[in-house]
Amino acid sequence: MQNSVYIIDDDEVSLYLTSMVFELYAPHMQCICFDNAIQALESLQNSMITDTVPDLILLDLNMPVMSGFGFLDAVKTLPLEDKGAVFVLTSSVSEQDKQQVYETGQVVDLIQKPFSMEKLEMVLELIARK
Amino acid sequence: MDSSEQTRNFFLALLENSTDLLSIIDAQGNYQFVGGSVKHILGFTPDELVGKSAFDFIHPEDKENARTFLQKAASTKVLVIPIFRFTNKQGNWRWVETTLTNMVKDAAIQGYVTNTRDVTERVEEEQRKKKSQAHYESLFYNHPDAVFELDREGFMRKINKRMPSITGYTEEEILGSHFRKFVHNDYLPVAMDAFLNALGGIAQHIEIAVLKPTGELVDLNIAIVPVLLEGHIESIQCIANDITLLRKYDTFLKERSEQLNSIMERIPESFYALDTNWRFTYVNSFFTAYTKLTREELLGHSIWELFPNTLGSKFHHNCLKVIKTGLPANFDEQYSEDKDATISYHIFPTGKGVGVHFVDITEKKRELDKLEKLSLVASKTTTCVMLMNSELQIEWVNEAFEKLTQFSLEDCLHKYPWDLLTGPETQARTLTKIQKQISRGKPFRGEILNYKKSGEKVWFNLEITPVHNNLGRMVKFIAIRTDITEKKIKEAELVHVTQDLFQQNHDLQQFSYMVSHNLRAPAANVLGLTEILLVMDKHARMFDETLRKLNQSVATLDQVIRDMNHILTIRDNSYAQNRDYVNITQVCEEVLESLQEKLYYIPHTISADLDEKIEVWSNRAYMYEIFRNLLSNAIKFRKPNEVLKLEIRMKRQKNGVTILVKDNGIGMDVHAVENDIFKLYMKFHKAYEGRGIGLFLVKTYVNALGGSIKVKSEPAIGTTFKIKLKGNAK
Repeated sequence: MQNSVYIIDDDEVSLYLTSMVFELYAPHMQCICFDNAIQALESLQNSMITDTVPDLILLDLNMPVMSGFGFLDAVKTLPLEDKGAVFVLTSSVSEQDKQQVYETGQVVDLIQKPFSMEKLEMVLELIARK
Repeated sequence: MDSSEQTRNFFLALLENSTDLLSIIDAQGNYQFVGGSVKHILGFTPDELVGKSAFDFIHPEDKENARTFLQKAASTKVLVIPIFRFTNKQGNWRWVETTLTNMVKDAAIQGYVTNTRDVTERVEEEQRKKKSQAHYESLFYNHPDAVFELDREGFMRKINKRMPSITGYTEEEILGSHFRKFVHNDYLPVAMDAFLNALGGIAQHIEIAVLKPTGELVDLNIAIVPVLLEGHIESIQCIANDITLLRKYDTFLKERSEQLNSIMERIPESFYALDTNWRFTYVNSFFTAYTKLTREELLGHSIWELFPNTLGSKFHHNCLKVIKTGLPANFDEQYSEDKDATISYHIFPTGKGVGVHFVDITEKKRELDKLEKLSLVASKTTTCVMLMNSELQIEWVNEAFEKLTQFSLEDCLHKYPWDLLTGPETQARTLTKIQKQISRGKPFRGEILNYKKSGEKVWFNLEITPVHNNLGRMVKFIAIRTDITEKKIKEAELVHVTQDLFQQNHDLQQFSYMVSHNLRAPAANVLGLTEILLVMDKHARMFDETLRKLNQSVATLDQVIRDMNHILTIRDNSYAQNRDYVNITQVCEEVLESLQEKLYYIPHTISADLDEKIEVWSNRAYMYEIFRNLLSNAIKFRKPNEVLKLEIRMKRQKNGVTILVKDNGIGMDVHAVENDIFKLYMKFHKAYEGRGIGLFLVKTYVNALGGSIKVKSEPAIGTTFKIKLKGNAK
């Protein structure tokens, strides 16, 4: 079975960049891009029925309509088990945001943009260790 | 001497020494013979009478009567002429009684023999008796009081005319009745006692009540006198005096006197009376308590002896003056030796001396002095001072209060402070708190908003202190006000400034967060993309695409920097202050004009309810930007297959204007986007162009103009923006 990644970000360029990093350094992972959290949430719910829950979710925080926090709140009750490890990928350097993210307890780690090879390796290592 | 001579001399001697005067008169009354006893009975010698008419010596009033008797004597043997007056030698009238004996037929006598006796003493005695009887009768019957006589058994024997009118019984009912019949039961023992005493020879006075047949009571004072006749009590005479009114008056006087006494005893003020020798004749109990002397120690003693300290005092001087002038005196006197005691005296003449009434007003005076000193201070201070009575009515305000509040003392007197000083913005909570504190007798301290007479607001620091009397009752309130209006204004300014600062700080934080995020996002992209480009094969399929993305990111970065500059410019207050009267309708029309190009191809209706006259003190450029952004949005987010309906309304408000911009566009779920709608770079419709800065700018403009903006929106229905702008509208 192929490993899949959800990338959720309203910034089109950021989506492109992140998916390019996967394409270059982890081509075995299939990137599914969402420009808003609501679509991603719907897809995630469907994936549980089709048993295609992604191994990894890269989530932006600052999005209109449903923010990263909104998304985390919505998936809180979903039985993702050991799959669907969420990493926040944000351009924010605010300590307050970082604090708030860790407080949810739903996130493996917070990564600052831009996504890169080194960050990808770290993410994969963290997932493998789990 | 022969025997006949002897006999003749014997008779002559007899006649000379007899106590009766023997004479012989003829039928005309002429003396034929007069016995020698005439000499010692009447002073005449027989020769002086013989041959004379007896009638010449009889009193003219009695003459006629005597003649009649003489004529009668002619036909009878012996006749007695009742008393008549006969003159003696000295010319005095003597009462005499004469017996006439007819001896006309006797040859030896041939006349009437008169036997005359001097009865003057007897007659005078009788006359005296007669007079005495008349006197008694008169005293009995004509006495102005009721007089009655009881026999030894107690029955009414005689009564006078006053008896029936005083007792109410008729003469017939009284006479023969026992006195018990008339006496009221309560007085029977007294009456019986007096009656028995009278029988024992003792005269006395009693006071009893008689019951009239009508049931009325008559009070009588009765003098009871036993009537002695030859050492034997023959009857009892009583004189009854109606004293009903007198007794009533007495009772009335007694009651009044008791009442007065009771009042005197009860008043908590000293009262006493002095006689002309300055001795106490009356002291009330308050005075005895005051002097700590008993009534016995005071009464009958001279005030100057008991209280030598008062000699030479103002009191002493005034007492003398009152006695001398007979006019009352009122004055206060201070006694320095006794803790500066002050006594208020009222001295008045009583006819038998003076009455003195005094009150120790030391406390009152001290209080008054204190108050005087205080009010002197209070009137000169710049703090506003108000005195209120226990009912909270204003009794006094000082000059500072009058000057500051513009209410004069006359304006304030007997008014309630809240009626004068409170106004629409005075906090009800403060008033309630004052009332609560005061009703518990506790002081109040706090700030209050009052109004001057002119209606101008003034902030006071208010202190209300209740004043209690000795009994713990609240008698007064002192309210002290300090003007803190300026401080209050500064405080308000400070609050305002603080709020402003807080808002600015908040905005700044928000802004810096936004800036950091929105600058960092494209910058991160640039960084990420360049990294990829560095490792990417320049001929790879994705190279150009990545490069294009890099370019896009850099353009975004540039745009963000431009936006920041724009926003900072709007926020610069100095620019916003650049104001003028702006005709909003005109601005709105200009914006619509500039949008004509876009609207040309779009089916639309515009309903504008604009008041062309409304001009608001505002910034024209900002107003223009507000309308341009809102109307552009309405066009941009229209429903694709429907006629765009635009509605613009304007309404003049009390302090500014409200503007309404409504469309029938695609709308938003306001609940979902509520917090973000006016945020920078927030886009809610991915499919549409734009950076998500329009509404942020609108809000920034509105805020810079001191206004507020609200949004109502529903997906597929439309969006309504409501803007309130403060400012002078004309």
